[in-house]
Amino acid sequence: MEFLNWYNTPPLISSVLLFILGFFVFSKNKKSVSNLLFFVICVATVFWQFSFFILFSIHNSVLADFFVRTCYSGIVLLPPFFFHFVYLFVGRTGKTSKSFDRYLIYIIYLVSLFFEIILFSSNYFINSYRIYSWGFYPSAGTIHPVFVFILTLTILRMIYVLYVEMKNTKKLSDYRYHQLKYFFLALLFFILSSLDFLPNYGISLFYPLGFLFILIFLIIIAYAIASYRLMDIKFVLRSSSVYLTSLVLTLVPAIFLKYLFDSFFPQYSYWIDSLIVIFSISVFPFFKDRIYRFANKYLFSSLYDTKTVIKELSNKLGSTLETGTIYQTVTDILAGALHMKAVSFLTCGVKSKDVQILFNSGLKVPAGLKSELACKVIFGTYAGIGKMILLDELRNKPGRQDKAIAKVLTEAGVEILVPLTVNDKSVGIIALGPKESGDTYNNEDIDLLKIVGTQTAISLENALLYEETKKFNVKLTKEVERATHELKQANDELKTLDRAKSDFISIASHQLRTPLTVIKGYGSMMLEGSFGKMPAPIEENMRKIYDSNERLINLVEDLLNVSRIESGRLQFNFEMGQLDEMISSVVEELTPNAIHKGLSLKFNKPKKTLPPTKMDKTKLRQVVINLIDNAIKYTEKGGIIIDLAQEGEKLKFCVTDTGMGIKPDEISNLFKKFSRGVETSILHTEGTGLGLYVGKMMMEAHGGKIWAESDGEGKGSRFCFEIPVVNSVANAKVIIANPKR
Amino acid sequence: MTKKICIVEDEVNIAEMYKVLFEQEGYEVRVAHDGEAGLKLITEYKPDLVLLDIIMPKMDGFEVLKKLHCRRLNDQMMICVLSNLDQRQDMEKVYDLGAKQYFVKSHITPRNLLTRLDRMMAFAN
Repeated sequence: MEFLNWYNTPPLISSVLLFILGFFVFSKNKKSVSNLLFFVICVATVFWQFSFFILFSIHNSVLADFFVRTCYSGIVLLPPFFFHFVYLFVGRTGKTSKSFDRYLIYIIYLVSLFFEIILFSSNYFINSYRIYSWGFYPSAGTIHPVFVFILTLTILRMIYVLYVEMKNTKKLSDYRYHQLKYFFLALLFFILSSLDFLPNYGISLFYPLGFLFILIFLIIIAYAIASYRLMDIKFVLRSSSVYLTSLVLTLVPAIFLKYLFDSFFPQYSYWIDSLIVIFSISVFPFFKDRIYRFANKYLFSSLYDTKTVIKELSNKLGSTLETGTIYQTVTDILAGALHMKAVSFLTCGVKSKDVQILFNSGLKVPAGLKSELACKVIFGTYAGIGKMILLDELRNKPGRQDKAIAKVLTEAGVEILVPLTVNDKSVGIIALGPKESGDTYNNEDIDLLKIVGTQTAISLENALLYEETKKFNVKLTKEVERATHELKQANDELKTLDRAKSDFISIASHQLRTPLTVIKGYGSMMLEGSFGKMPAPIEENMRKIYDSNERLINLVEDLLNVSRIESGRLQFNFEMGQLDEMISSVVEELTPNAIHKGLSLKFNKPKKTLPPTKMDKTKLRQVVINLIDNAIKYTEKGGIIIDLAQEGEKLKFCVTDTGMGIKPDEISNLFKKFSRGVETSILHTEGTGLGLYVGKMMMEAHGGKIWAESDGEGKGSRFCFEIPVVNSVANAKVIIANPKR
Repeated sequence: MTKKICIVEDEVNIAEMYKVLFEQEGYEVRVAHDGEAGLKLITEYKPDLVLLDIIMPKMDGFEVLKKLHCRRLNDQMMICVLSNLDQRQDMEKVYDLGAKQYFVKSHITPRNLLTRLDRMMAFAN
């Protein structure tokens, strides 16, 4: 401690720091002239400051005479070096008169050389030394003011050049502008150190404060390098440097205190040492924390542009709805900006309550990370409520659980956990490993991660909703398939039932007809006399049996037809045929019935041959039989007239009787199922009313219509139908079966 | 020459009824009461006309028609189906199998049937 004192320490510190900074800048790019020049500026300044250190330390006048010159040998070189540096620094985009400045550089170098020579060969520049309270100090010679004058001119030129450059670059790029700004500021402080010239002229200050300004210069330059890549140095402060700085900041006051107390209270040395140690230990974390925050805010810098990263992320996330793609995209973009070693997307299981890995790129996953505790702490305490977790912060939390998780995260190599929350709902977290460079995550990174977290969360939420919708669709499709299957089964069962019903109708009709056929056949043969002539009363009764049997056959026919109509199974066997022939045969068949009842039955055949028409002969015959039989049935005296004629494109058939007639209000009900005229039910109970209903169905199937007319009760009635004539070949082809093959 | 008629009909009363009338009118009539017997009878007896029922024991009328169709016997004789089935598909089927005509038993008296058959045979000759 004898060696150092209050006066010689500051120049020593600035010398050391200057040299370190200069060498650092130089070492970052040895090929760059700018960096070399900066180094040289530092070295020249070191000459100045280190000579001061020696001058303030020695008492030997011979040495003092040498070191005042050594000191100035450095100072003299500063104007050309600085000017040259500014020239190069500005040069890339410089718009000022370049050739002028280039000449100026040569001139200034020459002037400096001239002063160097004078400095060491005569006393015109530096006239030995002066002695101040702080030690030896250079004394200004006769031409010293000339140097100061030239220096002033150089400084003014530099300021002008920098100012112009700053004005020009302001719009171009933020970084460049900041670089210039900080260099400019640093330069101004450096210039202030020229206050040190005053003691040269015997104007005594409290102390040559130049070193103070040089230190400020150093700090500004260092800051510009760290924050704005001054001289293209991509230097990012690491947490280790924060640690070191904190250590220095704790140790220096500690040593100073020890020194102070030792000199005043040597007798309490042991106690004081102990107190200092306790003090240092308790103060260290505080310093570290503060410096870290400060460094984080002002010094640590990123090499990406936040806006660009966010824009890219937005663009890419905007075009996907697949969670897998989202994880990959975010990972790629973060890796591009932050260059971290690992990225992982984690979430807390809904049922299992442990951490689940959604996506992993490079993260080790220790068992502890998957635990329920991790889930609880990470999601419950922090990420769930949108709080970002920095491992460094977590380590310093007092909670036992926090410590445990911090340990797990350290083991997993997680540095930072970014929450993914949308509307206070957590969709997971992004776990980031350390950066490849070993740098810490700075404030800019954290701001970026916050935005990335929000955007990713929104995208993931959308993707999850989309997936849910897709899943729901799949579920829905399955459900529909199941229902369809059930319906199909039911339908198959119904079809089987239907077939059974149809078979039943078919069999029933067959079975019912068999005995009727026997009665009809033998009856007809007996009446025809096939078994010999019968006595009149027997024959008459036999006819009654026969007639009733005929009704029964028709009734069975009607019933079966109704049943088929109801089940939609009524099939038609359309073929081309002559309606008049069919009617003739029916009339022929029914004439005996009419005669027997004492009625006349007259068929007015059309005068000219009718065109053939498309019809189901059996079904149509059934209708005709029904209508004529009804007429016979409901007529007590008089007769029945049957008309058939072509009317335009239609064939019209009518049965007119002189029977009981129909009330006008009953006509509309006649063709409904199970409906009869009120009077008919009194007179004839055997009718079911099915005949007209079936007739209506048959007519509709033939594209025709059926209707009834009556002038009223007791005034007879007329039943008619009409069907369209078909004479075109195209329509004839519709024939389904042709029995006359 | 007396025309030979074969009646294949399981309902004895019906078969007897037609037999009585046809024999009265001078035809030679043979009766079989099931499909198998019918097929045998037709093959051996070689009638001019066959009246074939559909719903029968042992072998139904469709099967008989198929067999006759295979043996090309339906070319040598007139085969008419006489059944109480009246559905279109049944009719189409028998026409496809080579039957000449389809009669619904309950729609026609034996006399009317005979008239129709006479007319058909006269036309065929």
